[in-house]
Amino acid sequence: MIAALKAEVLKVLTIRSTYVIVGIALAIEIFVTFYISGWQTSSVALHQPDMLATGIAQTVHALSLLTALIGLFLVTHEFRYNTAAYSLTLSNNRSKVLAAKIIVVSVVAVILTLIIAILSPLLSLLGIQAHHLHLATQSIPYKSLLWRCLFYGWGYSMAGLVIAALVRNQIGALVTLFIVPGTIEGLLMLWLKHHVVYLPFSALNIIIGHGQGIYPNAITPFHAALVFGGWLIGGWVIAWILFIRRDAA
Amino acid sequence: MIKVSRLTKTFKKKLAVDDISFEVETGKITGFLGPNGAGKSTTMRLMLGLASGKGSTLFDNKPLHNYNQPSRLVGILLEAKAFHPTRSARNHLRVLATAGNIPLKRVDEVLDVVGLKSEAKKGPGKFSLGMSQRLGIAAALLAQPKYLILDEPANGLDPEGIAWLRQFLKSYADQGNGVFVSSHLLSEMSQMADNVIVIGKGKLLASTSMKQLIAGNVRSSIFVRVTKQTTLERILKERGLTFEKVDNGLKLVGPTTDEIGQLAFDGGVPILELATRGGSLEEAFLEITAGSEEFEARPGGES
Repeated sequence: MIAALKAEVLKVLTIRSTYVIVGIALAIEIFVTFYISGWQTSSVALHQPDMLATGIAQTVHALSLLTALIGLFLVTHEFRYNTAAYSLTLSNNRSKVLAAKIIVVSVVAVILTLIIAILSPLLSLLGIQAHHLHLATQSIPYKSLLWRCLFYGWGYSMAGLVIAALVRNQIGALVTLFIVPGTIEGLLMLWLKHHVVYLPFSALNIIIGHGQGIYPNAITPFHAALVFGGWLIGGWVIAWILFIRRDAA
Repeated sequence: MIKVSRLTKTFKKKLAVDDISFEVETGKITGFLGPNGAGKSTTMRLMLGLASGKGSTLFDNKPLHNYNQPSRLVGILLEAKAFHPTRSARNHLRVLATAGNIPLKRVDEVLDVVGLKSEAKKGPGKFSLGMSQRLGIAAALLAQPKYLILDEPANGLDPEGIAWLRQFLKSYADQGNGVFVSSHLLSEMSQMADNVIVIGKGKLLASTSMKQLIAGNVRSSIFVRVTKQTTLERILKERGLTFEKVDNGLKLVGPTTDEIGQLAFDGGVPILELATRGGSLEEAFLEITAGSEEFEARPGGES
């Protein structure tokens, strides 16, 4: 298992797309938090005591899609470039290979989300200071914000990984990851009304605070985490069975 | 020994591999032949547990995945371009070495063996087919495994590369290892393989030694070239012997060189060339696989 874990870490670190994705995420974060939320921020926003906390949640919400791509590529590249044959013959157990991917993607997602969450207020403050603006005293619910951000970032990456393990085709997995959260669940909302919060990505949005505007009291972030966890476990059971049984091509 | 027993695989309703059994011995190169679409690659994938199907493959009496380190037992090359195009050749091998618990010093050693040391830092996406094959061979050799399973390793290699591969695999087998290799290059295979497995339309057509395969399926012939060919043709017809005109001479199956020499001498026909021609692997292959082609092309000129 240790060998499989080390190999997955090496796969993530020795591929150009990892650095491109992280670079894009950081560039977007610098632009949005330093320039938009800092340098260019409105005087109304500067008087909001939760401006930085909201900014953290918004940044994590926006950038988690990018971190999810790292997990998605870790699986789909195996099939796109036919390296799955190596991965599955070098290890004596397919479950170990899948478990290693889950663990490594989890660690990468948590680290990147943490960096994004920490950089967000720092860069905003830097932008505000650089423009000689005055920010109202801020109230940041550290504990709540931390678990919600980390769960969201991790959850999105896990969703990307499950989709990749189910679909395997890179384009198919990317399309699924891009259209399910917004388009599919958005359309289902018309039918399910407030029950939409029981869908995986809507539940994730509740956790980070972006579903509350639509159905503010439908479900708490904790319950939303349970809902998402249920979907994730279900998804992983199916993905695991298929990963064990399907041909590696 | 690799013991393959009753491998069967169906794709939807089509039988791709049909109840195939054979053995791959250590100390020998076993060639794996068959027309396009015969099921060679699928058989190899079934052997390695990469495709699901019926039957079993035992490596030294145990399934591959019952070993703690399968990498020590078998090295594979199933596709030439099985790598991420922008991950450098060295990093590609480092990933595989790490996954297989293989010392990282082997990475540079195998790169040196296949002649890719100078290209180690480059992304293999722009490698030629031959260079990609070399990288694939390097990957197969990483753990110095007891068995090599190679699918068309000579594809894309230049003549020098093919000669190197032949010598390398022979020497690898001579060290007590087993080599199972498929190839379309029949002349190359005839020089390299000790044993041959032939399949067609998913069925096992032959599993024997190279010598027996050729001897059992192609009758050796004699070739004679003379100055007065029409005279010799008349003499042969009078004796009821059949012949075929080839290469400015005649090919006969049945009589010996002594008999033909005597007939020519008696008829006053000077002989320029008289020799026995042994059967080739290509002739044996075509004989065995006749009617087993998945894709049959029209004769040349027709469109």
